[in-house]
Amino acid sequence: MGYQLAANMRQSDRMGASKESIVREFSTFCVPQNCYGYRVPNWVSDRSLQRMLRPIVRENLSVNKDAWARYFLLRAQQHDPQFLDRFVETAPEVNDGIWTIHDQLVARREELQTTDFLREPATIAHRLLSAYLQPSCWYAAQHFYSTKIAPSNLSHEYSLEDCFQIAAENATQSTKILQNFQIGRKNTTIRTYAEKTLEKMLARIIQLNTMRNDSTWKLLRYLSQKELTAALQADGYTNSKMAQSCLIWRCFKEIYQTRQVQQNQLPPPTELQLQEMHDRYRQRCKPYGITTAISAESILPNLEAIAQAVRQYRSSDAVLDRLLQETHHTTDGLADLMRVEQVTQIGTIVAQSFAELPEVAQIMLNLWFGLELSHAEILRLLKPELKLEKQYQLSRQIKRYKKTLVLLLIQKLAAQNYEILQQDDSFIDALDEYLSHYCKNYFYTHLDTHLQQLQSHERLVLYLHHQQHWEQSKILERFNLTTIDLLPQVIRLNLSFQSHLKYWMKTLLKIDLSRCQSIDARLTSFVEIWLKESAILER
Amino acid sequence: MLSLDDLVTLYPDETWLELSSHDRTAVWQQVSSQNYSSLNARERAYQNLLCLQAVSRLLTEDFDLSQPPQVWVEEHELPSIWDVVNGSAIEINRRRLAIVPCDDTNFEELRVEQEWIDIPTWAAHYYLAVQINPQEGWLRVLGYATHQQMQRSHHDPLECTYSLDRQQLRKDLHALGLLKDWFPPPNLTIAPLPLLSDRTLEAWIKQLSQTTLYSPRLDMPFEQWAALISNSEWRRVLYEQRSQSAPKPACPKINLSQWAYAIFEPGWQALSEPTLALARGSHQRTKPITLGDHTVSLIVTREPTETVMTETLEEPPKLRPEVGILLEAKMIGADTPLCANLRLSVLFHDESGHNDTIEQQIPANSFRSAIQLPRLLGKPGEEFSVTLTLGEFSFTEAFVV
Repeated sequence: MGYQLAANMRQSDRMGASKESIVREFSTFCVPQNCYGYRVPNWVSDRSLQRMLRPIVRENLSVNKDAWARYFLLRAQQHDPQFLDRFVETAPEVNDGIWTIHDQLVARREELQTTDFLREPATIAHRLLSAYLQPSCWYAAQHFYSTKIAPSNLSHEYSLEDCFQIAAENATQSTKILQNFQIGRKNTTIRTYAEKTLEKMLARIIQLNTMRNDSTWKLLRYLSQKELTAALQADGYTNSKMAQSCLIWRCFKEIYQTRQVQQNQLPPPTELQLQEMHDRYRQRCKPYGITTAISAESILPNLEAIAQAVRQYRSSDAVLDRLLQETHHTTDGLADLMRVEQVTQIGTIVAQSFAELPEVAQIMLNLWFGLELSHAEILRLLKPELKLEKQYQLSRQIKRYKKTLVLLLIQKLAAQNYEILQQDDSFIDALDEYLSHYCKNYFYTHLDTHLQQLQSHERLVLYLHHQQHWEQSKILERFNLTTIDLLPQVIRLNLSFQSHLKYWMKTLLKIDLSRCQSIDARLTSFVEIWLKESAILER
Repeated sequence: MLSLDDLVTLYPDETWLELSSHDRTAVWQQVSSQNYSSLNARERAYQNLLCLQAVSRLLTEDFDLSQPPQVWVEEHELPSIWDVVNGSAIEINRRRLAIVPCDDTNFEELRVEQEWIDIPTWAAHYYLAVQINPQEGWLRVLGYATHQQMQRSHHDPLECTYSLDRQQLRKDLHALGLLKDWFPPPNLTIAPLPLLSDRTLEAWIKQLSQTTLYSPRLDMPFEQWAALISNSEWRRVLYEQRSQSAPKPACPKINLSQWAYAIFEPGWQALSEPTLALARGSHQRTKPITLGDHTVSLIVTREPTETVMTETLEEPPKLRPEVGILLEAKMIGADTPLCANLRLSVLFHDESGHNDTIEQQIPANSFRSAIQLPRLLGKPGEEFSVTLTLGEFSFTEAFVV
C-alpha cells in the first residue's frame, strides 16, 4: 500500500499537487502536543475552510502549493483583478502557476462557489494564507526556541508554546508578514520566507517585551528620534504639535543628566533642569518654526505625554510594521553566490579551504553553521580545546575562522571575477548561507545513510507527517492502524536518527556529548528540520 | 533587562563586547580627571572613550593588525572634541573609521553628527555604528556605512545630523577588514568650508564661551561652526574657555543613602557571593582599585538605618537615624594574600567637628587576605573619605552617609 501511495505522489508532484493535498495545505492548523515529554505538532483540519476551498480547487491542475499561496497572497493584497493581469505579465516565468489558477477560476466564474470567491477574494484568501503559514509558525518557533531560548536564561520565561503562540498570532496578519515578499523572485517559497521572517521577529518581540516596564525617564532618555516620530505619528499628533513635542524632547535629551545611576531608577528632572529645558526650548523655537509659546510648568506634563504615546505605540499593532521593516531580508544573496558558483566553483574552494582549517575550527564551524548549536553549547562541548570562557569570545572566534575562509574566497574570486568585488562586497554576507548549507550537508549525509535502512512504510509515515502535514487520524486510516497511536512511532523514528548521529559524533568527531545536557533536545530539533526540509522520504 | 549572554544568544551574528567593571572604572577615573563644560559632556566623553578603547582592541585582534589603530588626533585633543561633539575616529591603512556611539535602547538608525561628514579634515571613509550600555557592561557593533552612504542619507538641518536606517548598514566587519587590502581608499568628495576671519572667530568664541548644560554646536550656522571646530587651535580655546568657566564639579561623592534604593555609582558592583551582611539587609558593593601592578578590591557595607536615642549635655534626649558602615580591602582572587604595606584608612569628622583618622596596615611578611577597619557609625549627610595606599600609589574615594 505504501509503495502505491508513494508512486501516486511522485506522479502528482510532476503534475502539480493533488486537489486534496492543496485543500489540506490551506486548511490545516497546528496544535502543539506533548507526547512522552516531546513537544510535537499535531495537524488539525478546519472543516469550514475545507468546504470553502474544495469547489475552488480543480483536480489535475498542474500547479504546486506555492503557486496557490502566491495567488492567494496577490488576492489578499489586491482587490483590483486587472492588477493580476499586469503582474503576471511582468514575471511570466516565475508566476506561470498564478496565471493558470487565475485563468481556470475566471473560466468557471459562473459556478456559485467560484463567484463567491471572486466577489470577496481578499477575505477568503487571507484566511487560507493564515492556515498555510501554520507550519512556518511551528518550525520558526521550534527553531527559535531550541537555538535561542532553551540554551539561555530566557527559558525560565518562555516556553516553546509561548514562541509558537507569538508566531501564530503574528501570522494571522499574513499579508503583513508577507508584505515584503518579492513575488517576482523564484528562489524562495512563501513558507520559507515567512518562517525566516517570523523567527527574526520572535527575537525582537522578546526583546521589546523586556522594555514594557521601563520607567518614564529611562524611556525618554534612551529613546531614539525615529521611534519618537513614529510614536507621535501613530498617536495622531498634528505636524505642529509633533514639531513642538520633538523639540521639547530634544531639549530634555540635551539637558537631562543620567548621573550614572541604573537606567530604571533615573529620577525626574529637577526644577532647575526643567527651567533650563524651557529656556532652551524658547531659544530654538524659531528654527523649528514653532510659534506657540509654552510655560516652564508645562514641560513636565508634555514629557509625560510623550512617554505615554511611546508606551502605547510599543504595545500597538504599529510595532509589527516596524519589526517587519527591520526584519525584511532579501533571499537573493544565496542566489547571487550560486550564480558566482557557476563560473568559479565556489563549492570546491570552500571545501578545500575548510579542510585546511585546524580540526577544532572545522568542528566548531560544523556545530555552529550545521547543527546550529548556541555559543553556550559549543563552549560546553569544546571548552577544554578552545580555552575560551565567554560566549561573545566564541562568537568572535567563529567570525575569525570565517574570515580565513572569506579571504581564500576573495583571492580566488578576485582572480576570476574582479568586477564582482569592485561593484559590491555585500555578496560576502551570502557566505553565511553557503556555509550553513555546506555544514548541514555534513550531518545530512550521515542521516541519509541511516534513512536507507528504514522500511518503506516507515519512510512513508515520516513523509506524510513531516512533509505533507497529514492529520494523525488520516495517516492511521491510510495504514489501517486504528488502534495504535501514531506519534510515539514518529518519535521512535526521530530518536533512531538522533542515536545514529550521536554515535557518529562521539566516535568520529570525538566529542564528549555528556558535557552538554541540552544536546538531545538540539539533535531532536535538527533531525525534525531535516525530515521536514531535506530528507528524501517518498521513494 | 536582558543580560549580555541573553543578547548574544538572541543576536548571535552581531559583534558583542563586554565592558568589564575594571575598564569602566578606569575610563571613568580618566574622564573624571579631565575638564568638561558639563556633566553631559563628561558622560559623552566616558561613552566615547569606552567605545574607542574597546573597538580599537577588537580591530587589532580581529583584523590581525600588528599595532593598535592610530587615533585620528593627538589623544590630549580628545576632550576638546567630546566636550561638544559625539564620536571619534581611528586610522587603519590610510582609511579613517569614525566610531559613533549611541545609547538608545532601540537602535534603529545610525545618526552621525554633521561634523563627521561635512568637515573635510574630519570626514571618514567608514562609519561604525556602536550601541553602548555602560551600566549593563556591554557594547555591540551593528555594522558600518561608507561616507557616500552617509552623504546620501537623511539630513536633519535643525539637529545637524545625517541618519541612515539600520537595515542599510553593512554588517560584516570582516568584509571591511579584508577589502582594505584589495582596493585603494575611496576618494571623499566634500565641499570646502568658508574661511572665517580671526575677528569673527573671536566674536563667536566669546559668545559660545558661556557655560551651558548642552553643546553649543547648534547655536551658530553650521558652516561657521564647522570652520571654527575644525581648527584645532580655535577648538582648544573654545574648550578651555567653556570648561574653565564651568563650575568645577565637586569631586563626586559616593552617596550611601542611595544604596538603600539600589542606586549604585558606576564601578561599584555586587559581590560575587552572597554574604551574611546581605541577608541582614545591608547593602554591600565592591570596587576594583588599581595600585601600580596590583588590583585590590575595596568592599563597603552600608548597614540598614537604625533609629537611636541620643543624649548630650547641651540637648535633651532625642531620636536620630544612624547608619553602620564597614570598610574592607581584599586582593582580587580568592585567598590571595594582601601585599605587604597596603594601608586602608578613613578620614572623618568627629563629634566636635575635628578631622579624625583610623587606619590599618598590612605588616611585612604577613599572609592576611583581608584588612578591615572598625565599624563606623554615621548620621545621614555626614561625609568621610577612604584611602588605599601601596608604596607610591594611592587611591581616595569620598562618601556621604
